Amino acid sequence: MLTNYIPLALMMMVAIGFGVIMANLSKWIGPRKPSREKLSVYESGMVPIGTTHERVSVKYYIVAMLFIIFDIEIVFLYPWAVTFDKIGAFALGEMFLFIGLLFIGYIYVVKKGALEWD
Amino acid sequence: MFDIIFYIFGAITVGGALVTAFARNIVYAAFSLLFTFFGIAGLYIMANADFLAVTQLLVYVGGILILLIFGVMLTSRIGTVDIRVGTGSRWVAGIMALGLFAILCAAFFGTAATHTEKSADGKSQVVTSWATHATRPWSGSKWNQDATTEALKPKYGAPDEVKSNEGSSGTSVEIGTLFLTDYLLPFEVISVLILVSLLGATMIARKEPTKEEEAIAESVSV
Amino acid sequence: MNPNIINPQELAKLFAPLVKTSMSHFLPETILTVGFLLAIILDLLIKKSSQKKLTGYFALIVLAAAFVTSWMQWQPYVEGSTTWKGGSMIFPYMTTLIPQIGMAVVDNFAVFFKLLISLSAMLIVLMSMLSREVEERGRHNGEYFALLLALTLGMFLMPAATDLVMMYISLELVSITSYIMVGFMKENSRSSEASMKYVLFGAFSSGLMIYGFSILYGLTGTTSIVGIQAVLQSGMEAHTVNQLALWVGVILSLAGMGYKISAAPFHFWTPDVYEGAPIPITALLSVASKAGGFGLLMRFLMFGFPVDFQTGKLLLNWPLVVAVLAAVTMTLGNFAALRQSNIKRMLAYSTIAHAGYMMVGLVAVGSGLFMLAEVRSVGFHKELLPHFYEMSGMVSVMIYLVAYLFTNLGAFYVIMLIANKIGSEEIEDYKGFAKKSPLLAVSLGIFLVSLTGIPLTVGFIGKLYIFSSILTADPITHATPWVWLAVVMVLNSVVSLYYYVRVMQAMFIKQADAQTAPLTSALSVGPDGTLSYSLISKIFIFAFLVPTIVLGVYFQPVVDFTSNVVRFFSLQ
Repeated sequence: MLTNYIPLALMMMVAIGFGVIMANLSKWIGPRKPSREKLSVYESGMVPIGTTHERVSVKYYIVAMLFIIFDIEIVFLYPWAVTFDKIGAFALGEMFLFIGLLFIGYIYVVKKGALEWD
Repeated sequence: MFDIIFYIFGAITVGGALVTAFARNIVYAAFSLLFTFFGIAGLYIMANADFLAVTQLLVYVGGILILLIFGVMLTSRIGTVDIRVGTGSRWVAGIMALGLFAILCAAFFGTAATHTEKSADGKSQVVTSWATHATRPWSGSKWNQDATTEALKPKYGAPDEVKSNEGSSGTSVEIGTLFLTDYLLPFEVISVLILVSLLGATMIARKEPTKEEEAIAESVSV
Repeated sequence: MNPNIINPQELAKLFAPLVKTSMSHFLPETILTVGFLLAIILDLLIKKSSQKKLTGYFALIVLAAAFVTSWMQWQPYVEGSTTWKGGSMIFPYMTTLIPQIGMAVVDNFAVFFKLLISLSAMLIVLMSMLSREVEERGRHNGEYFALLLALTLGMFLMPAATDLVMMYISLELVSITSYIMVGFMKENSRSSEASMKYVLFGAFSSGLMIYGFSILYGLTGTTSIVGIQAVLQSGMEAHTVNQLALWVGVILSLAGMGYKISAAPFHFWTPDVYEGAPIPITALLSVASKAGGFGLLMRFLMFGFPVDFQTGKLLLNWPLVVAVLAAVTMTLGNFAALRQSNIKRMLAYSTIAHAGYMMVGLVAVGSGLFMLAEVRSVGFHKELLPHFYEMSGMVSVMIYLVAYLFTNLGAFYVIMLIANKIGSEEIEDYKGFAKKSPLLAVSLGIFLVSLTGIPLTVGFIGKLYIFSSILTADPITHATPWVWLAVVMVLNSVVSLYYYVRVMQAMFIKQADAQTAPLTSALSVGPDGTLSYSLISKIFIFAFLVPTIVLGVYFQPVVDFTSNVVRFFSLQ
């Protein structure tokens, strides 16, 4: 049973290994002669001003939240998709109802301008 | 081999959770949550709950955690905030947590106790759970001997056979079937629930236009 | 591919009639769902903030339709009837094709709660239309009334649910909608704070509850509470029940439900949320949401856990746990209420105390179960039946809920009217209020008297029935095990009198200080110092006041009505 996941595990190991190696390769094999100038932050030749942290508009969070809500909707589509061929039209009707309700929510979100960035 | 993988995932989960709970820096806490979620997904796979594992990755790792980490990183000067709230009762909390842990352990080890019981044909057999039935709503439970089911058995197969798809298509098929049949009502109510949260998220989190902007919008639309 | 999966056409043929009959019993909920969707669309169509109130009228129509269709589901018991079933299961398990177990049930018990909830929701809609807090957020009134319908849908499903999954989903629907409603006035930091606290506490206790449910499922292999009872029954006969694990599961499950009814260790959210929420929502949470929670809790405890018919003992001695929680809940609520200066906070603690009183009735439900078991073991004697109805705390809890509906909604309504004008909820600012508006002061006084449980008000009837249910001796063993609980309840009622009287003292006896003058804003004060209220808002008080007094004297209809509900359980 678990043997099904061996390719997945291999894929994961390759991905992690690739990431770690590539990110550190230059550090390991390149020469390192740090100096004050080299260590300073480079910003188009300017002296950096302020911190890198900036306040992010609440708009980011609303888009993120809507993303998660639709993400959860997708979770319910998965099991439906794999059983659809067995239950047939009945399942189709049920899913139409499910999606139909959320479609009204989608219309609401669009109409209220929650997806507009400005 | 199975055990080793299980313990690796367990260690990842618990280790991540510990760092999340005890880290002074909220950024570390958020990142170590990634390991916890990932480890839990692994544990789900070990428990043959592949649908849950996918859900865990899709919703928690792919959605909530990304939101959380972005939220943490994008908030100014959050890294310097000491998130641990000082309390004098840490010992009390610790003792209570340990007590709860002990009770739960006792409860769960208790359920695994084996006993013998008589099956329908009079033979005694060893059962490894106190509950006299398999852990499936439709398998071998008392009401399964109901006349309706018995009558339908030759036509639709014994209910027990439904679970014989192990290793082929995973649990998604079963979950899907149950959602669309037995648990139809909760399934449809969930869509109402999601709709409510859509409304709520939009209503609470969206920036309010000022009175003037609103007046302009109204005059344009009329 | 599964070999024994039937072909789709055949399956659909099988399911279609099941869904069809289920839907025919699902009319009130369907109306609410469709109403919710239409309300959203209506909100999108109405552009002007000032016209958003139209959604409120629409919600009122939908709720009235839900009320009427629920009423039509009522099945009065006819003596000697053979066709009377008491209830029908809707959305049964289709893969097993067993009609006795399923997601929800339509019986008189569920119908009673549906009537109660839709009635209070209608009153809340009317109240919201008169509320200044809601009106100030006119732009969101469309969502407000739409969400109110979704909330009602959730509360309809709560007492009807007979499956752990359905119970959880309905509870979450109610919770999540309430979080949004509590934070409705988002410009107000107290409202946002209340919403935040509500979310945190709510998420925690529903997490505990779902954990408890998972343990119950793990132990019994089914999510249906009817199924759980069947499995536990057979487990009990074979002495294979792991009591400890079952206790853990049950107590964790109680956490979620205890949170909804704000019972004692899960009550911490109540004062802050009640204080921060708009007043109509506070009223709704204190009445309808609590009623739904009690419906869910009663069904969970009554249906889920079996009685040993040989010994007359319950498998779990849950009445004892509930009794201890009840005693703690009412004592905590009453003593904390003594120190409050904000009337909404005070009423919040008082609702905690009332939850405690109703839990006493729940304990009596457990005694009723003992009784039922004994009836079955010694044989069914017709003369025992009236005793059973008396003992069954269910009647008393339901009567109490009816009493509480009118009294508490009325009290919150008057507080809302006062807050509309003086912009304050501090008891200190109520000084000399009787002079400013005698009608409001007197009616608030009557509501508070009824909350205390003084005769000639409906609150007294509620308390009386709880007392009699808990003190009725078992007709077979002649034991009255819950005398101590009754004593605790009496003492608590005395304590509660003190803080209710304090409000009345402020209104009637104390004089308004010169310093508190700013609270009476110039526009609302009449020439002789009285506050002027619109005719509608005055008439509307009588919608609460009349039942409070009339039902306090002529309460037989309520008792008959609720007894009819209990018959279903006894005849099962």
